[in-house]
Order: sequence, then C-alpha cells, then structure tokens
Amino acid sequence: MKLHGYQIGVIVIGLFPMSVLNAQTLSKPDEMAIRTIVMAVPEALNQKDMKMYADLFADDADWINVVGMHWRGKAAVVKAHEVYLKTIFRDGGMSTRDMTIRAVTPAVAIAVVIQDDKGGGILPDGSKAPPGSGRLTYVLVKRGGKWKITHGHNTVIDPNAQPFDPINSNWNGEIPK
Amino acid sequence: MRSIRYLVEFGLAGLLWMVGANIFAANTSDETAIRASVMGFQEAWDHHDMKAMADVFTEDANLINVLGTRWQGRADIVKALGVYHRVMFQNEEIHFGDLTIRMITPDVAVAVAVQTGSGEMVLPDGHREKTPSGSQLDTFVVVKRDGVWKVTHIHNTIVNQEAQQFDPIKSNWNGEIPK
Repeated sequence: MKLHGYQIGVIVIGLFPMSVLNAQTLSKPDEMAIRTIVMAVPEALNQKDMKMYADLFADDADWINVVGMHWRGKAAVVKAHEVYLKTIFRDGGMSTRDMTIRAVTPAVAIAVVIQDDKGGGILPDGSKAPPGSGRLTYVLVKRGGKWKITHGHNTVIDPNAQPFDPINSNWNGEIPK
Repeated sequence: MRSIRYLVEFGLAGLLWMVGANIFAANTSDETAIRASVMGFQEAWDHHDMKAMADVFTEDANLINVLGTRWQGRADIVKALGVYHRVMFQNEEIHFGDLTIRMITPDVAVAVAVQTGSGEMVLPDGHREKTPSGSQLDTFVVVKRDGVWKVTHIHNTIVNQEAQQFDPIKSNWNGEIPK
C-alpha cells in the first residue's frame, strides 16, 4: 500500500506524544521551576508565610512527617505546619541542600533533599528541639503548566546508622556471631 | 467521500495521541496492577528473594529507609537489601495493611501503606531482637511504563506512637505547650 504524504503526517502526529511523553527528561525551565518550589518550602516556614507555603502544594497533596503523621489534602498539610510554627518551627533555621531531581514522566518529578534544622524550637512536650537533618522526598506534578508538590515524606537521618549502609560505607555486611 | 476519509484518519491520530498521552483515568486493572507491584515488595521481602525484589522496581528507582539512608538505582537497592537479608532480616516478615492508592496522573500513582513486622532481626552489632511491634508509613511512587506498573521510589518512616497525641489534624491538641 502506498501512503500519501498527508497519511504519513497523520501517523507522525499520532505517534509524536507517545515518544515525547515516555522520555524521562525535564526541560531546563521545568527543572528550574521544581528547584524553586522545593527551595521555597523551608523558606516559607522560616518566614512563617503560610500563604507562600500553601501556594507550593497541589490541592490533593499529602504529607508524611518524621514521626509518621500523615496529612491528606493541602488544607490539612498547611494547617498542621501552621500549628507547628508556634512550636518546632518557632525559631526558623531550616535549610535545604543536596537536591537531586529525577523525572518519572514529563509531568511527574521526584526531588530528594537533605533538610538541616539548626534546632532550638520547642517540642510539644516543652523540651527544646535538637539540631538534626532529615531526608525528604517531594513528588511534584505539572498540571495546567504549573509544577506543584503533591506528596512529601520526611525521615530523620540517623547518623549512627550510616556506617552500616552497604552502599555508601565500607561496611561489608559482616555481623559478629 | 474524501472528507470522511480525512475525518476517520484524523480520528485515528487523535486516538493514538490519547493513548500516547495516557489521558485515560486509572481503571480497575491499573489499581490491581499497582497494588500487585506494591505487594510484590512484601512478598519478595518475606521470601528474602532478591530476584523477585529486583522485578518490583524500575531501573532508576530510589529507596529511602527508616534511618534516612538512600539508595539510588535498582542495582544498589537490591544489593543493599541483599546484604541486610543475608543475616539481619532473614527471620523477619513484613505486612502491608491499609494501602491507599492515589493517581496523580494516569501513569503515576502514589501509594501509602502501613507496614508492620513480625519475627526477629539481627542488628549489625550482632544483637538479636524481636521485630518492633510498631508500624511504619511507606510511600511508594509507582509508574506505568510500556504498559507495566513498577515501583520507582520508596520512602519509609517509623511511626512514633508517643508523638501522635500532638498531631494537629487527628488529635485535639491545639499547639499549646506546657509552660
């Protein structure tokens, strides 16, 4: 069967998004937008600016914090963090470093960061929060041309456990009998 | 007649575009497949089967464990878990309950599972102890590539039961702190 030019065009148009949308790459502007959003999370909390904070999240966003609290929906995520502005986040002092961004699809990316907290805030039991670092996962989604956080998960990095990391330490898995 | 042919062919192009763009909402078979990929992690863990474990993940997958350790890439995840399963976890089983799945796009889902464990574990210093009776919250990011759902990211956190009384959303605590 001989294909006419317009028929080839029709097939090419049809196949185009398949190839584009299956490529796990991000454009520079997309990567920049994601980086800006993730960097703004501690900044908004440090500034106690919950309007700025809320704007970083999608309406369906979830958050799991370092003690395993799970908040569903942007309103709950924002409200919970706002309450903690009076306690754990009272003195600010959070910063983000070592960000990696990975495209899962062209519309979904995962950013992983280390977040340092200089400590000094108040824990709910009245004691002082110690300094520490957490490893955070951010899942971001592009909807209507805008990137937003749709899932966050935070875990305290236990410095005592890292020497027993089979990949990033020299430990070879040997355990005393 | 020619206009009908154009219409049919452009319709076909549109259909191809929709398939390519994955704009169809997740259906029951997607949810079943997502659930199966998450449960595949549990099964591989319980059987200490690192070949099955590798099959759960995409090649570019990441895993962040409860101690904040991160492994990048399926090869490192499987290698690290293989080391831990040789001794530390060889008599431990995990169980996923209360699995919720949320589609963030038609080809990416975020699943959250409540993980409990049973049996015993061996710590790196050689101490044996019963698997803690508490739970963990596990995030799974699952992606559909070439028609197959695989886990591309896991992040785990231990649930601190003591802390739950200070949950601003699920408890009656209003942020007040003892003087």
